[in-house]
Amino acid sequence: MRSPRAPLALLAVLALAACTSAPAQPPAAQGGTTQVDTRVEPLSPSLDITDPRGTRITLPATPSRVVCLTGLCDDALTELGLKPAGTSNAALLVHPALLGPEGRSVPVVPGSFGSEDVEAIAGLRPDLVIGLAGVHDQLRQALAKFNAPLWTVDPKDWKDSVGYLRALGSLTGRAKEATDAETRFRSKLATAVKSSRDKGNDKKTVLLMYGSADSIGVDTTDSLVGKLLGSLYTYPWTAKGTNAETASTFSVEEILAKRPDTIFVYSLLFGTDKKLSEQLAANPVWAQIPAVKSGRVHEVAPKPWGSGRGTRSLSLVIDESQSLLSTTP
Amino acid sequence: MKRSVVVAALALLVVCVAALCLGTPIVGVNRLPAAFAGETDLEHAVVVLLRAPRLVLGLLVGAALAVAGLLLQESLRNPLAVPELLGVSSGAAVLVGVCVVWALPIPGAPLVPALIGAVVGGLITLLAARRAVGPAAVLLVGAAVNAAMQALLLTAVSLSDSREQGVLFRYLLGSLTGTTWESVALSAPGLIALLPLALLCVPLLGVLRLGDETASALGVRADRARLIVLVVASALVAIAVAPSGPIAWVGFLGPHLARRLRPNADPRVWMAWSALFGALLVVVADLAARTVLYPVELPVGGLTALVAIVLAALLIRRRGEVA
Repeated sequence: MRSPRAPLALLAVLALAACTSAPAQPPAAQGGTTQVDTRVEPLSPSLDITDPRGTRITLPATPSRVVCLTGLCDDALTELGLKPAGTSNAALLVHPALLGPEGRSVPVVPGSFGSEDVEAIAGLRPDLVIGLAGVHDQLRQALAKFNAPLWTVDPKDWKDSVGYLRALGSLTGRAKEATDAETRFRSKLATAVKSSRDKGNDKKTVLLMYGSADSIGVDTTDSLVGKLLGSLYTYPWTAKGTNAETASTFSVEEILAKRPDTIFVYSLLFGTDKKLSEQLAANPVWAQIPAVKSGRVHEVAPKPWGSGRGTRSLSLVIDESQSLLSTTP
Repeated sequence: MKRSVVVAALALLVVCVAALCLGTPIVGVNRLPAAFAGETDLEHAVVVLLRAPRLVLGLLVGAALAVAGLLLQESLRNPLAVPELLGVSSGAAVLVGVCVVWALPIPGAPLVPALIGAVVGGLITLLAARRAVGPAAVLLVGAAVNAAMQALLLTAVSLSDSREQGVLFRYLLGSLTGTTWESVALSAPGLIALLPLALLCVPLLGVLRLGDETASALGVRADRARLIVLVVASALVAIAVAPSGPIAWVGFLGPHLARRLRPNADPRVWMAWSALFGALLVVVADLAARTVLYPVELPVGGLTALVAIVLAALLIRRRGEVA
């Protein structure tokens, strides 16, 4: 066997290239707030709509029994003053930001995410089923046999969430409720952006992550909530070279280098009696990060923050993040 | 021989230095002493608390998986026998999957449940293999247990949400992300104790290579000898995959590269070279995993599998040409 000279030389060059490097400096924080247009276009009821992704939905009659397989649906129906005929997101629906305890009366669709029980859905006699693009498309054929049209949604940012709310409002004949909710959301976001700028919070680096101290997932700038937080604060967590909305393995070195001032965390992956903020404080690596050092690691509700996707959940994200940032030094 | 050892030692040194220096931030070789002395907080944290434990665990896990692969291939007289066929890796993955999906409050997760799952998976295979006659039967038993574990694992995955799946897949593909000195302290003693124990298996391997009939004629019970080797290999794999997940193909590549380097050597020599190749492979793959798509980290096992496929194709092609 030949000596592995070429790879060895390459590695030597790589290692030597680093010989003269200076001590690492944390990068300067970058504020990233944007203007929010508070104007709301008029909306009228229609049984033929085109959603923000260009998908055309045509229904024979106004849907009255909508089954939700994705959180955006539960969220938007709540905004419109409607209840789903069934949901696979019971934990989200009963959150106080949505229906609260009243949500317990909504039948739960059994099955796992993406493999929901089609017979159970059919049993709910839906006239519209709303799922997530790329996850629920596989149910389309089976649902068609029960005359239940499937609409798969794919919101990329808050504007898409608003667009889906308007589309559903138009389909369900709840145009006024939809535009009212849109007005509330746009005003809330515009006020929050201004407030962030006035208080200097737009210069604060925040991080939204999930997992545990040794297993970090990060909502990147490609995620809906990541983009929203990026419009309020400095949110430098990009997933370069990938389309990952959430990076289930994000470099802790990058987090150390970017030194977040505040960390929002949700969804503990391994059950433990220790809060993640305590886990991080006890971890020698995480203890180097300003947010951990100064106790600015905040546990947030996993469902609205992680899978809400609609204007109601995003409003909660705005309110909670602003409140948590203002109550800490 | 001497030249190979010098080149290997140099390669190991360069890889170790590169693993400590490269990443973000790049820490110069000239700054490593200051980083270890704790003169700057960030460099100390990055080099000493993040990269160094990862390097140490990568070296140990790579060596352990490659040595386990050699033990399996020699004892089962099958060059395609890999640690993944023992049910150990999949046993670890099943329990980690269950803990993630149902958020079970097991202390020390994911390391402790992975270790428990690995031991249980390995024990099932070993108990089932006790009655297996011949190396082929043992391999089939391992494959069957592995298939059963994979089915359980897929069931757990199907019940998880997208974020849980991300974390699960990271573990299933093998990753050194999140390695701390605590996880090194839990795994290193076992691996360091088992590697010399693997050397003690070499005489058994020598007899098993002659075939079961010849071994019996020499007064050695082949099935018992094989079981002893399997126990050592299973223990090595269990402790290796607990913190890192099943890093694929290291147990296949290490022994093959060792045999290619020293075709007529003693199994002891193969073992040493297997350990070295395994360690180098995992550390280089981990370096690539955390730098190629930075700041997102790739699973190490995906990269080792990629290298293995290319090398295996080259080895098969070379063998075809020789034939």
